[in-house]
Amino acid sequence: MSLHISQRQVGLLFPAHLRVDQDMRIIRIGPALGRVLPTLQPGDSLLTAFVTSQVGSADDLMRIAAACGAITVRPRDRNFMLAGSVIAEPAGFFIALQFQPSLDVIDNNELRIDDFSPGDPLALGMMLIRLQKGLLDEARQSARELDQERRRSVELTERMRRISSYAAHDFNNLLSILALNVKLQRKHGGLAERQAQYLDVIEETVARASGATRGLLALAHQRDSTRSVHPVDSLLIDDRAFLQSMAGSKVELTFDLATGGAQVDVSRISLSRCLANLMVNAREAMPEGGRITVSSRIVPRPAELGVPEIGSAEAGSNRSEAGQWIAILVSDTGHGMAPEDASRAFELFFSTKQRGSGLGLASVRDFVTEHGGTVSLETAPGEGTTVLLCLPVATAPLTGEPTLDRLRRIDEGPRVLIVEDEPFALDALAELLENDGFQIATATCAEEALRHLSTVPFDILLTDLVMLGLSGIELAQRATTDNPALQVVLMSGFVPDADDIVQGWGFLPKPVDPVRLQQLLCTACEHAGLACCEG
Amino acid sequence: MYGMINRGICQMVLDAEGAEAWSAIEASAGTGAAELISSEVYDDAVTVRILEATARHFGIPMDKCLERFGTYWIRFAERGSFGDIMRFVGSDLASFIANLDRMHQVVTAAMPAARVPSFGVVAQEPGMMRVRYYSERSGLEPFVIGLLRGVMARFDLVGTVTQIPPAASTDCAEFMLEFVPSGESRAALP
Repeated sequence: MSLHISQRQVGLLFPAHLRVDQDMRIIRIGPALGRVLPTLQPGDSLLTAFVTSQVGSADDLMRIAAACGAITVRPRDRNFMLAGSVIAEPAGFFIALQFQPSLDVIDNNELRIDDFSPGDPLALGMMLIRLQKGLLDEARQSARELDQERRRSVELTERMRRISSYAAHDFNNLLSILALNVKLQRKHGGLAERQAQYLDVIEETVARASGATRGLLALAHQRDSTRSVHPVDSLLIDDRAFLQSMAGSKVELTFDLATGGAQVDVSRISLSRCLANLMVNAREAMPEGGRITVSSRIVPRPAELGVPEIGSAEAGSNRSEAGQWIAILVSDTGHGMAPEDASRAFELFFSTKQRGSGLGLASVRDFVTEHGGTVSLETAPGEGTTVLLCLPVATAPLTGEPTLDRLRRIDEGPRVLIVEDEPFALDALAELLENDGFQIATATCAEEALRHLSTVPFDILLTDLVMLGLSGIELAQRATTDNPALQVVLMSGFVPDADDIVQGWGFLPKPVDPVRLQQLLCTACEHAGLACCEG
Repeated sequence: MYGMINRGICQMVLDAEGAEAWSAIEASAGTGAAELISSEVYDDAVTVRILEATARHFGIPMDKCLERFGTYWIRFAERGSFGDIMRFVGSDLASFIANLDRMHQVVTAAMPAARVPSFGVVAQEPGMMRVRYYSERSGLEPFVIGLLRGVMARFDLVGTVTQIPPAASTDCAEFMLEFVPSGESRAALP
């Protein structure tokens, strides 16, 4: 069979061909080899231009052609191989070559698709590898961009957290002054009914503003590392203003609280944040407005409410009094959830909202789990949603509200050093505690406090946390090194890291709640063997 | 469509008018960074929404916006992961277009959800070329006009791209390319 094709067609079919004469001289060079090997010229010897162990003479080429065998050659001084067939022609030989797969070929930027025969799979393979490399580079670039974006976001969040912390701290200091002076005014007595009402208004306003600062602290991700026992209904009422602000103006927020003063051992800020998450979810389920009901009650066990729960009820049951649980229910009149969404609602990063982070309910789940409780969901499309938090009733109930009046005082009263850089707050604290029979000394910074401590044996150090110079924690560390019996109560609008507080130290969050202050000082006195609470 | 198309639109806007313009378009289209993941496959409707918002922002009709994006896409693709294989596919207009299907064959291997078009050179004379185009998608002819302009620009050619009635009864669309090297006068066009 003979086939007549033009030289151009030969070039298209076998771009890397060679024609050699009987003396092994190159007569014609295919277009691909001509481009890739620009120094190769007609007249060059095949054996000089290429390295091959299979061919030493024209007889070898004839033998390969007759056997329909393969020939492999490597251009001298180049690292890629070519392989193909030899066809005997009247004037010599036609050697149809193809590039062989190798890194040198794949990475060779001189090669173009037309340098390969139309059916040569190497061309597609090379493109695929190059595309994959390109996609990989693009993925790396995307990863770098995402990392930068994440860093920017973290930085922004951190900045916002700091601003919120500072704002809350300063605001709490101011609220402390108000709260303490109201307390002093009440102690002085002799108030007309109208004046007492004014003080009520101020106290109520301080309480509401305190709720707002808790919101700021929640925004700042301040952990309330000082878990303590609280009547749960009081906590919920205290948070009313904050929760209403999270629920928004279109939503009516109502409370139905019926735990009868049952207490829960809980981090206040964590509970506030948990409820805030539920408020936000409920609000978003009611874009046109609606009603949220926060209710509480005592139940024998979480399953009593008939909905499957998530959490650690078994672990928590050790701390539950007589197997009793406090149930907090947050119900909305929103659009509800489909069963398949409800079953995944507490999963991290799961959200039915277009831009939801999937963090809200997951953090609620974490909160109840950390507190030995359970959480569950009751919902249906069009029928609203109820989230049920079950927390164990605290087994260590408070002993009422201890007051210093109930302290059995020693002759001269405990010696308290108050360190506070806000003069009005310092004065109010000093007067309040002096009235309660303490011997008081004051300092406006840690350095001044250390001078007092070096001369007078104090029983209690009541110090602000954030001050110019040494911090309250550094002051307390130095002071207790010199006097290990010294009792420490820290106070701040910030919540310190748990790691920074030595076991046995008390912490009083600002704005100062005089009752809580009395509790902490009572405990400190007991530890110092100075006085104890009755009962 | 793959997210890299959306990224291409995003980059076109960023290059032309900056980040603020893109933010406005995202807000109008109701999309965000989550719609810009190159290797993610999105519903075509997402890309259409972005293009419509872009057209509104530029104050041009949708077909002109598609043309503009088609031209930009060539520059965007060669700067990104397609750059290497675009160089490999051809060093002149005719070989580039003739080999596009082979390139798309590889794209489909690497990105299985891609629904790639088909291109073929139907006729060719100096300064003129007739190109046949087929796609499962409809309505993208203005994009192809821009795309072919971008390809001409890639090989330093200037000229016109016009959709013409197909020579035979076919599902394909045909385009006439008339061009001269960019240094020469457009008056030299055939």
